[in-house]
Amino acid sequence: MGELQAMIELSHVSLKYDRQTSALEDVNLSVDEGEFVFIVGPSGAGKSSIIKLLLREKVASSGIVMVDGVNVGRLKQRQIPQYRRKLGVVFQDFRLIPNMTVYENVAFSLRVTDTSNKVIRNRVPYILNLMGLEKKAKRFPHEISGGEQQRVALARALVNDPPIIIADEPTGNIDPELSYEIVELLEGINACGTTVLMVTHEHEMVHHFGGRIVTIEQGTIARDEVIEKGGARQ
Amino acid sequence: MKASSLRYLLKEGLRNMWRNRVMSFTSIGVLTTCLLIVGAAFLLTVNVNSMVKYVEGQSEMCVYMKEGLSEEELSQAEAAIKAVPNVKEVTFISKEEGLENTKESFGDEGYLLEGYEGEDNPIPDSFVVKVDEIEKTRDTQSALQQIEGVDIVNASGEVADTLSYVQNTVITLGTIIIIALAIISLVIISNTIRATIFTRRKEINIMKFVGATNSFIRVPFIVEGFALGLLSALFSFLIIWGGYSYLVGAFSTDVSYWLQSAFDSVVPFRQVALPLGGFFLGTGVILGVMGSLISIRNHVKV
Ligand SMILES: Nc1ncnc2c1ncn2[C@@H]1O[C@H](COP(=O)(O)OP(=O)(O)O)[C@@H](O)[C@H]1O
Ligand SMILES: [Mg+2]
Repeated sequence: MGELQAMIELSHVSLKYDRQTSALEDVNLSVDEGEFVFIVGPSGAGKSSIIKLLLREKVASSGIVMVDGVNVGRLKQRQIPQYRRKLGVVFQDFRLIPNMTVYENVAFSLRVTDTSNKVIRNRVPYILNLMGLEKKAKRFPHEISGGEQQRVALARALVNDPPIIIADEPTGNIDPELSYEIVELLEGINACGTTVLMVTHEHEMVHHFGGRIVTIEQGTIARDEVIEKGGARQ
Repeated sequence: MKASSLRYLLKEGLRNMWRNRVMSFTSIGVLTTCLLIVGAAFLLTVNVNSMVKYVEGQSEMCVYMKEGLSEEELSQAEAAIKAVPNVKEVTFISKEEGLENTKESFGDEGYLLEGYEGEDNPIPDSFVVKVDEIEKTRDTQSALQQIEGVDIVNASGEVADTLSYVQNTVITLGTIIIIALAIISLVIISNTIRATIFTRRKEINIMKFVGATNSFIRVPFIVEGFALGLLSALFSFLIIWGGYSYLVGAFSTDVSYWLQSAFDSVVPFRQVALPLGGFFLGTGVILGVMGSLISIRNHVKV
């Protein structure tokens, strides 16, 4: 048995969008398998930039990004789709495919991996049930509420059983009561062993749930702490 | 890729065509129009060529010989005529045959020529010459004129000139139209599809983040382009078939004699159906697929 490897490991990572401004500056972050981590910080701090690096939408200007043993910056173009299937992603703006039904949106995640129709027919209803969406399967995204759309996005992220779930402000566009519901769903997923990384700027919610909280300010990690459920620092 | 995935992507392409039906309709309209114009240019060219061939087949030159030539001089002249370039067929018409022909052409007034047989026959020996290419008529005519024993060469030079001018103009114009339209339609098609892609760029982006490969994203678009091309080819073929048959029908019922004779040289549709259909199919599908590929080229990379 070797030493336990971190699920996500950023070492000395910097990211420049253009020559003058650095979105991230010497960021070091390690997330173990099965952890639930909140990433918080003001708007423009660089939270989404971290997500972009993990998704390989951007490549770090310097430093190394490792995810589940993969050096993300070194991936060849044709390896990227395969890599992205390891990550279940949820965005603030849901990013559902507008002309596909709820069912098809969720099934799409499986179709890209060449999953057989038989498996799709079993797996998709199961996940939709889990998210309380069984009655919405035939609806289109514009026919359901924001909270429901985000649950569809979550279902799509989960259906492949990825080792990591990444959520960038998943509650940013939905009602506060429903926001807590989404985070509870993520906690449930995390309880089954999935690593979860959730970006948010809603401090109140973070303090309500507690756990490991990484604060980003001006492109650097300002604090990395564990807060008790209910708000007190441990 | 599994068969079930391929089936899914195929269906997805066709479904997208329906989902973006306004754009699909526009693309089909543009492509069909282009194919129709090219098809019409093609049919016009084919028919002008056929008409020229027909007139060429009909047009003859008459080589009248001088009086009092010997049998040997006549056969030498015949050999010389046959040796002239562009001469296809030579038929000898003796004085006697010539007189008979003339009498016949006089019809009821043929009796006027009674009594001119034998010594008094005013019609000279002649050769009827058919040529290969009508546009060389004038050169051929002057070459024939040089031959020993030839008196006069009759040929309808103006008809030949006009005809070859029309033919060349139609072929040149047809070629220009076809090339220009191929380019124009490619630009329009790719722009039309680019417009749909623009609205679908977000969708493509989402697919990329879910882990779709480039080919997984491309296949439905290719299917869509293929289907658009196929439908356009089908519509163009049906329209041009109907239109052409209607025109030919209108021609054939026209009473005037010269139109009737021109009708003899009209190419029947079934004779051009295969090349035209093949051309529509090939061009439609190639333009459709190329249009799709050009328009997604810039958007697939994320
Ligand atoms: N595509 C981009 N091009 C240039 N600058 C960008 C781009 N995306 C983000 N930035 C800049 O990088 C910084 C961090 O942005 P981001 O990571 O989106 O912040 P957050 O998600 O914390 O609000 C900001 O200053 C932002 O303006
Ligand atoms: Mg952000």
